[in-house]
Amino acid sequence: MRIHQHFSVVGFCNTYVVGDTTSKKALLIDPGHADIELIRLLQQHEYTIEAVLLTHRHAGHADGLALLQKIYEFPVYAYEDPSHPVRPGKPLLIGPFTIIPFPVGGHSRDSVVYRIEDALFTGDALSAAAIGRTPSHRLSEHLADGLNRILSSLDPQTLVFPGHGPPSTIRSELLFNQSLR
Amino acid sequence: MYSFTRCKEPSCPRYATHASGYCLEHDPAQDLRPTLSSSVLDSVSISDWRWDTKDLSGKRILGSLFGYSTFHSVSFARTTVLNSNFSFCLFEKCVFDESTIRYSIFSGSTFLGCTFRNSRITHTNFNGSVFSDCDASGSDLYYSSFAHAHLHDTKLEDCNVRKADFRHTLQENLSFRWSNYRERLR
Repeated sequence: MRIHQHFSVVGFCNTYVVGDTTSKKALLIDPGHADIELIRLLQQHEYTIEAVLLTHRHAGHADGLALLQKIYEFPVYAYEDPSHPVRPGKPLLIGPFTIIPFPVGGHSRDSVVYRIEDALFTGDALSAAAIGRTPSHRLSEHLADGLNRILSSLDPQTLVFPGHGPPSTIRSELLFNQSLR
Repeated sequence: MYSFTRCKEPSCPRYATHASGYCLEHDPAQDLRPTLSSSVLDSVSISDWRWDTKDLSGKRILGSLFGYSTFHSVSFARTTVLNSNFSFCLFEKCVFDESTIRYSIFSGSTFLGCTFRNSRITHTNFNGSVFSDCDASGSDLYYSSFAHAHLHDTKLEDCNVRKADFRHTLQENLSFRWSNYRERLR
């Protein structure tokens, strides 16, 4: 499994391509903006998109779908999606990938964190040393509690790939993220 | 691009070093030379290792895992580091001048007497790190994160710190002279 990070200045959003080097099948996570660099990245590695996973449906994380759907065919998985819903605790088996979804809410009602092998894709729920913005203090506490439960159940060396900003590790977040203490 | 290839030894949870398919402990040769002789270190995993007076200058380090290691007098000058994990490492007298570092993790690391002059260090995580007697002048630190870092006797002069996160840092004798420090997150 290889993880490619793509950054767009439109929305300052990270899009991730999770590729299987053997089968050349790939998942796309949060295509906030589809530009020529992202399409070139997919073509350069000869990936076929098996599915798109959305951590939540805010524009900065899903706006690239419209263009990508004109070029490729793929299902879109999101929390409470009518066609391909993501349910808590129910692993998604897509191509060679096993994806464990953790709905966390807080930042938005449909916020989901996905674990694929030793990588955690957190969208806006968690970024390096910060948790997502929420409409209220109560929701912020709810989000921090949910994230603490998830992070403490996983290997501390698991890599964290947020929707914005640099990557991190679970150990770093548990040590240096003030909101999670 | 990060890559995860497990050691071929059954039930070993570690990642394989690139060349052998085994982790360092199970590698029959325990020889890093074939891996390090290449100009591109792609998907290399050598964690918890001591590196002394090595010249890695000009290399491309891609999707590699070097966490919990010690680097003493190692040159990373003009090196490209992409999507690599150096978290909780110790860097002593290392040179990163004119390097390009993107999407990488150095959180929890300690840098003593290191230089990063005229480098492009963007989207990189230095949270909880300690910088002592370091110089990153003339560098682009766009969207890098230094939250909870301890920076002392360090120069970040003439740097681009737009969107760089300096929240909850401890700063002693830290110079932002000629940098756009009002655009940093604090």
